Amino acid sequence: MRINEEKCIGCNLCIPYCCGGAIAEAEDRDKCVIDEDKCVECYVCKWSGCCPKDAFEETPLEWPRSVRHTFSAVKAAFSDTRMDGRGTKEMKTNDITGRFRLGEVGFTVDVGRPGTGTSFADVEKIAMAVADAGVSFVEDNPTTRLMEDGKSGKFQADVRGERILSCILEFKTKEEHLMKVVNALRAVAGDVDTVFSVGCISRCREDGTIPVKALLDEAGVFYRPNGKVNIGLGRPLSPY
Amino acid sequence: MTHSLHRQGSEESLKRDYVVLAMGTGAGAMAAQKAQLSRRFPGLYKAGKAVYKILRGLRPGRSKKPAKKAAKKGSDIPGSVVFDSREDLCDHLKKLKDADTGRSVVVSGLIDEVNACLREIGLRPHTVQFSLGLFGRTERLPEKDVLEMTTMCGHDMIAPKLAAKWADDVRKGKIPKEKAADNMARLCQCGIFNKTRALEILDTMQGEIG
Repeated sequence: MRINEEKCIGCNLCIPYCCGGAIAEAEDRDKCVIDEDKCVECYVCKWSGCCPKDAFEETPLEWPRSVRHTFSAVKAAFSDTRMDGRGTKEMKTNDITGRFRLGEVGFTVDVGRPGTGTSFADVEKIAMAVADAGVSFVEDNPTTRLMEDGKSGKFQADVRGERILSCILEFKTKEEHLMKVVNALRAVAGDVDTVFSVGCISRCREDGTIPVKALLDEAGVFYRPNGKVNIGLGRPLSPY
Repeated sequence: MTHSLHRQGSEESLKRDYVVLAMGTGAGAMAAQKAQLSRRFPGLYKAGKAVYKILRGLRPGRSKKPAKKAAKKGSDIPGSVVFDSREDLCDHLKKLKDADTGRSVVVSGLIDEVNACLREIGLRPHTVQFSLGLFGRTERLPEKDVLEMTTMCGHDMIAPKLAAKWADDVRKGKIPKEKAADNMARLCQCGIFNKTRALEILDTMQGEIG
């Protein structure tokens, strides 16, 4: 994204709209400028229509900068990861896909959210920490697809320096390894320059009880009273 | 996406915040299901008490009111809907159950309340996702009230500085709180921003609870 300085009138209305904190008033002139390092290419500045002079202009995004837009804008289709945006269907279609099964615990780690953004270097730190704890990364996930091998948690070298609004690390392990993963996340939290939100997924038993809940309670792990519930209306693709 | 998982707020406040997502696993299957549902349940998604309905476009080329357009055609199923009461949530889930679309339906909200609702309509949870909270440099997060509003947009499209500015504008009488809530809702492209809660939070920020 760039600001056309011939159009910009320096009104500063756009500054608070920037999700990456990348827009500022130029020091030497009455114009707004975008810090390219901070800009996550979310396009909110342009799409929101906040500029009275329509001064925001999209610029061609080439690899690897294009991943910024992939993981910061909403719901566009991107060739970089061969999937739609930063999202993943994780547990939302588990009744159809059987992605997470009894005896397993799934994790989602939203890196950079809420509201802080992240570099892939920090995403990699978290991914490598949980890889060491023995998790399997979900293949059908755009973040996994930027890893070197989908196993070690290492990312392709050319994307590590890119900043994004957020991405989702998605992985699973056996129930008995739940605390190993939680402890790995707690440990790496002190080593990153961002915020991350952790989700923990459990397939319910036939009677509706939630196996992982008992494990979290027993270990004294905090969880919020609000979460997500797949209510089981999806028709399975195949028996599982 | 996990984005509706980490909505912040007190349990009391979250009693008025339920997001329902409906989705399939492929465009072809979804289109077939939509056509089938259109014939069987033409009125299912036209009415209701949803706080806010599906996609509102910020991107070029997207209609600003696709939900309204789709409702006229009677052919669309909302991908996302927000309710501000458990009763309305239960009514909607009952309709979805009866429709038997084969699509996955996920509810974000207070887990105990959602499960109670499922029991009432004869369903059981299939899979549950807990939020274990926020880790890392949490000192960088905005103040609590602002965070409660910005996390209602799952994709983080509402910059904390902007939400804080609009809250300040309300406090100073520059804009009505409804305008501030509308502004924030417009930035949430998935339409899962709950304006009822936003108004309550803006009231709280002004010290006008009640």
